[in-house]
Amino acid sequence: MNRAHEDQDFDATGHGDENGPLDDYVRGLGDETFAQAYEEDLFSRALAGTAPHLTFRAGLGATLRQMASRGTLDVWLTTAQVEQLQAAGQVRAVIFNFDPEHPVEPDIPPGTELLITRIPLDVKGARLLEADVFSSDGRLLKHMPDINFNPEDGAVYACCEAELARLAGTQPTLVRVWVTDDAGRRVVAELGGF
Amino acid sequence: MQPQSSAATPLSDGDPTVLRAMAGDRRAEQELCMRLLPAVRAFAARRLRSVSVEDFAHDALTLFVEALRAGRIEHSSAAAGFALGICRNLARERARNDERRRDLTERFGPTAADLLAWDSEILVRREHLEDCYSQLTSKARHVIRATFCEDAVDHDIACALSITEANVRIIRHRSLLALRTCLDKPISWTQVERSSS
Repeated sequence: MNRAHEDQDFDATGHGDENGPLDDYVRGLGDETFAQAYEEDLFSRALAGTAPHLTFRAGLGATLRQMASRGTLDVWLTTAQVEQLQAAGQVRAVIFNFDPEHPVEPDIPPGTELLITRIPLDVKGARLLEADVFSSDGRLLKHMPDINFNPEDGAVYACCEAELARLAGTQPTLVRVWVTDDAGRRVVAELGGF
Repeated sequence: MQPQSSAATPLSDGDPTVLRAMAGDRRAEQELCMRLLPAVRAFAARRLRSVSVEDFAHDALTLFVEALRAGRIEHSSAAAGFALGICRNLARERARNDERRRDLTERFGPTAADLLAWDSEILVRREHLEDCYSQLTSKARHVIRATFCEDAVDHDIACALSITEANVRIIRHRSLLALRTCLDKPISWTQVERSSS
């Protein structure tokens, strides 16, 4: 089985050509003929310092593992997950109760590693939650699909590295939350100053 | 242990770091090890259980440094092939060489602090990765987490998501591309200030 080069046409940036075969190689896919030729080129490029895809994968993996062990990989948490994170005590977390009627910037004390923002939201019956972040001039900055939530919580929790929260706090943005339920897809909240 | 010959693309003859390392420059040796480490880990990840990857990488680099200092790498263009040869032989013969490796580690091996320092140079900024990771779908996040943090095999990931292994592979490739593209750009929030200035 050699599927190493089947799906290389999805990439317009050139990155896909490098990441796909490396992923196949590391994951044990492709036959040994592919692997032997691939690793010879890989080692040459690694030694020459011309294998940025290799460095990217190594750095990405190390950072993902680091964040997962800290419990900070998932941006959206449920009440139970927040309690679990607090109980683990691995990171200094601050919980901020966001008031949509009177939005204020969160107070993030020095030394805080994680800001967890509790956003009150009635999402009973929801099948799907999404959020869009817009700049003050209406440009879509970011789409966050598949927000993790528990319909019984009456809130969602946005968990954010404190550094990113400080950065976000300096920018005027609007967060629009979409819910999909039996009635279809609609905006369920617009959070300014968040 | 003689590494098998390799058809690797040769480096240019004059790669200064390789030449310095061959001449005994310890900093150049470390630079070469830092460059090779991700490749050695990839080699090991393909063949070994994840718990054995770090040991393997440590042993392979130890043998590489030993070969450098002993002058067994005759041409700079052969250095990469030599390192790969070491990995191939080690993969076959590591059990037989346990005792010898322990001795070599004490004499030549990079320390745990070295590995940690090299790793720290390639880490991605956490807040940037958080920004990019949050833009992946639930399925994509699951595949990435299971792949990198849980060492799950594709069969198990596919079962958990009720999809095929081929789908897992495609989702992972596309997610890696999406993350890399996103990480090449500024954090999404910072684009506000730039556009309004």
